Amino acid sequence: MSRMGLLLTLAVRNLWSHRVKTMVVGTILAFGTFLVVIGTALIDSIEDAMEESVTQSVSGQFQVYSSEGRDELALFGGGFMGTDDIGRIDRFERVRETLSAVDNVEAVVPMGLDIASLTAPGELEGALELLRDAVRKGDGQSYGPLSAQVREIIDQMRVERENTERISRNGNLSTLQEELALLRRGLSQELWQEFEVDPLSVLEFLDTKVAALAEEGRLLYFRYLGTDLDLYRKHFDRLEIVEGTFVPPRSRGFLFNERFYEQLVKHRVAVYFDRIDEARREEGKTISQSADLQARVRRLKKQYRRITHQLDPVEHARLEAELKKRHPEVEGGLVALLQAFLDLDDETFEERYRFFYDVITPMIRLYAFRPGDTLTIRAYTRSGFLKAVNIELYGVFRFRGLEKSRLATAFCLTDILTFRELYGLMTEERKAELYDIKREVGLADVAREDAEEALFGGANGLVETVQAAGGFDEFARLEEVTARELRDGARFVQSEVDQGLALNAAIVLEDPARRTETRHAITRALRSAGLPLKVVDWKGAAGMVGQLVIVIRGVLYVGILIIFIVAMVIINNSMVMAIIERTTEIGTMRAIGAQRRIVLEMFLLETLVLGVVAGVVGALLATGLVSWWGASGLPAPSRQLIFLFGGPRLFPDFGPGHVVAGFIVIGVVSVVSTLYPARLATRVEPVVAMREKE
Amino acid sequence: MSVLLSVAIRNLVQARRRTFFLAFALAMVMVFLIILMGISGGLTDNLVRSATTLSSGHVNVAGFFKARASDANPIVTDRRKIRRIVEENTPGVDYVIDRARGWARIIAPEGSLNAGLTGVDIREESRLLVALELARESEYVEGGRDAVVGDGRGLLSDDGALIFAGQAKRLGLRVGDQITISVETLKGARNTGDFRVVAVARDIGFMSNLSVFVSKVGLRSLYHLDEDVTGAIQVYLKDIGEAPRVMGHLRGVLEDAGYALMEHDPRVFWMKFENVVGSDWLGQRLDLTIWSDEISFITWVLTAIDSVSFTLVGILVVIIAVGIMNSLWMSVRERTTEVGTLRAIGMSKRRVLVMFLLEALVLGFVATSVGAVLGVGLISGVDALGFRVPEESVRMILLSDRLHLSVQASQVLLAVGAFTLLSGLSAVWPAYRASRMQPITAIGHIG
Repeated sequence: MSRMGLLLTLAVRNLWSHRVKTMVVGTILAFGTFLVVIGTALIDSIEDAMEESVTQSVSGQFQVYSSEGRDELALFGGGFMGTDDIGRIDRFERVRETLSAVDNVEAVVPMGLDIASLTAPGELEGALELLRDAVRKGDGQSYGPLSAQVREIIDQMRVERENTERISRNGNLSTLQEELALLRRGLSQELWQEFEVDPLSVLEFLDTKVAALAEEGRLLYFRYLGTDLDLYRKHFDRLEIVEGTFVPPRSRGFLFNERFYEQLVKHRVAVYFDRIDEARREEGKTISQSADLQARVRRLKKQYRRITHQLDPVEHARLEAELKKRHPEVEGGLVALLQAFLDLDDETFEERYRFFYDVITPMIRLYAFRPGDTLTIRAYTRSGFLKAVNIELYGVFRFRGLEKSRLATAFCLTDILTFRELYGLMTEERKAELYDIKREVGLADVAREDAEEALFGGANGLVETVQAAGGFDEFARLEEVTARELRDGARFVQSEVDQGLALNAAIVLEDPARRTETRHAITRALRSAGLPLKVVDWKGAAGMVGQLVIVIRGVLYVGILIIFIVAMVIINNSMVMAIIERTTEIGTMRAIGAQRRIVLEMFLLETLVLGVVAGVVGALLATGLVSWWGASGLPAPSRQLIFLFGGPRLFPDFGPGHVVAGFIVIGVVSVVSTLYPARLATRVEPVVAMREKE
Repeated sequence: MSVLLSVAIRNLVQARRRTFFLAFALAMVMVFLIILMGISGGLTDNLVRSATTLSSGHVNVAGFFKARASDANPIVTDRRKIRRIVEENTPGVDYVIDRARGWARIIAPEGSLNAGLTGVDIREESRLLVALELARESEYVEGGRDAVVGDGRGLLSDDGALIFAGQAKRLGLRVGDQITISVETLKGARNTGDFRVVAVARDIGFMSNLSVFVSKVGLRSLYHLDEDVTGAIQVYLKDIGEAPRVMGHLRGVLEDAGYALMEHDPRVFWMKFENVVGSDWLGQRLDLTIWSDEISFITWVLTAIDSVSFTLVGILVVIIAVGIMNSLWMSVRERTTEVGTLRAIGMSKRRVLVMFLLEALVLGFVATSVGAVLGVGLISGVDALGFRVPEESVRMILLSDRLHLSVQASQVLLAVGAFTLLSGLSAVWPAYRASRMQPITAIGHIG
């Protein structure tokens, strides 16, 4: 013990007497610890944030899927645009039976993921709807302004057709001319005089002939998750409804995620305002300083038409008057006023933002779809045909605590029956089977008309199945059955969900901490049941996104390794020089009886003491910085990296593990880099002490 | 000067061990730096190659046509005239082609996928045929022939389609098979046509997964477009570095010729739909871009690699600088008596300073040169071996199936220069201290 005390005293004394070397080596060691602690804490926080986003929104602790597909499961999309082939689970009920029996498995949730599209309604459609309402209510006063709006839109369509003539090849011209004739009739005096007398027949003409010519609105793409909604909601309990309601039990229905709703379904001008507002509030940017925001303002100025197109003449006049009050200096009508209004700067932004939401948004359609609307969702089936399904939008959801996460907001939700339909993988045999089940339960007769009316407003359930080249007539046969089934209403029985196809399934555990053993149990259960399924954790299920964390971790470790190799060489060098300087001293110690071991221990202890002190300093700095970031948030370095951070800011956290890792690494580095110099020191012979100093 | 140089070299040789370790560290950092530059340079090469083969010229004259306010058709009307203007007015032009653009679902019996369609006139695309290596059948069909089947010139026929190996594998296609291409306009309108696979090319990173070539005639018929309409006029220059300047020049020329131009927006064309849709103009507007604009959505990978390299090398440089400073500091202390003697026999302060600086500079130069030679040798070797990248995510990041490393001589020279200079800088303080020593105390100094 006393020997240890002596060695320690010596070490401290030596460190002090070689202050420059101590400073150099100490700084490098402290910096190394700092790097290890901060690097591992950050990457673990990133991984935790991603894990939380993915497991709580879609994957559960594990995902199972067929081992017979060509691709690996990639919940967020694979390398090809289109549908990955992850095989399929034909009889989900067997998977559920097998896995529910495994200890610690709380639920097995069937899933199917795909990309689908949705077309926002066109302008003419909206305007005709308003006019039809007015006619139905006998509200003669609104005829004038509303019909003026309809005429304006038709006139635009005429201009478009004339423009299109210029770029179309000759073959198409005759159709174009026919269409132009219809549009000109839609604009004619006679037609609108007739409207006064018999509005319904004119509306009929406009609806059937002219509205058919209107191109549809904007096409929106999204990823959606078809699942057993009731089960999903129960086990992914962070889900909350922001607007509307959840889909009623055992019903078909659709839910938007909040980000999709706020960024793509929302009016574009509002999205611009929101984005600038967010950048100013959360990223501390200003319009005058940020080139990105300036570009946005420039683009926003050109978007005034998105507002003017949605105004009826009354609103047009009202908004013009309101804006005139604000911008008396502007010459010209509403267009010039709106352009002036949308030319945002830092001083006026907040006030105009409020004006936009208080005055302008009530006049326009803020969201292209609202809960209660019927959506026409289109998707490509497995074999590449476009299939459409009408379904009611019930609400908008988000996940508590994951509102900003890009990963947790990557999907819209629907029931798995709708997914199966869009995916086009229901075999006829399967359908017949389902029909029998349904008849037995007696649900087929329940309120058939009512359900149809409620969901589709009297229209056919199935909108269209676009078919290309021949040779795929399996779909022609399917169509009839599918249509019949959909018309049976939005309700279904639970067995329809269970006994059918899924692409993958999420396994939610009762106790996630026991996941390793449960994973083994699941694999065993699947094997003994003879189910050819793969089990993956969230990282394996997230595809490229999951692998990215592994790549980043790899880059970090390699970087740290390189830094330490160089640091070791430098530390080694400093130590060697220090020992050469201290040759005489070592010689003297050896001469008065110190063993080689004592010399070796003395030097090792010296670096260890330095390592500990430097380690403490480095770890303190690192944990301090991480705590500060943990409180204030570390902003994502670029917008592309937001998905990694689980939001625009990462709130990192550290555990004892990170500090321990830092100390272990620094201990190893100090010892390894001292080994060679210390060996040099032990080789000093006592006789050098007798020599004259150089 | 030569005396000082030989003194510096002598000192380095005398303190062999110290010199060796420092030089080793410096050389190692240099090797790392060159590897990192090699990765970044290789990625840039891949980016340029992907972009200029698949989707972009060095300078593009593209544009949008709006028949109605909410339209955004990515087409250029008046193709012949604009192309002639471009051909006649581009300084340093190598060649000009024009290609039509589309977005489609490719449907095969075994599956389907989405891809960008490029309509080419293969008679003027001889360079495309060279740039696209055709894959051997065995690369995409299990048990396929070990020979290239098909020919890119098959795009001469209106229903020809050239796909990539990854797509062929996925869709279970081989040359001669029929595919259905279904195009979807921004408005959701659809049209389909039958095409025939005439050739299968090797993948060019993940970008080729999203790319299918068809004949221009075929693409135009899918979209019902007139013959004088195209997607983009792509200008290839003799020197790609001139692209921004040429774009500026062409903007002026086209404006003078009376064409309406869009404000330069450095993004890929399909990211501009949203803006164009809401804009108030109608008719044709031209949109000029350079190659890097069209791949702006993936250059963040390059930025990421560069910033990681920069941070890493920065940290290493600081550590090395501290090491050099420490070592020179020791050297100065050891040689205090020597310095004192030199000063006493009349050496000026400046020459003492220069002597120590030279020592660091020589060390830096020799070590970094050795490192540079090793590094360049290493990356050339690895590049020549052409390793296959095993991991899909890394392939995606590197935009290539094979590991390609490349570094330019000028970059290496710059790095050697910078590192040498840095070694010199880290010696300034110890050297300054040495030069300030009083001869008398220096001689008397012990240890």
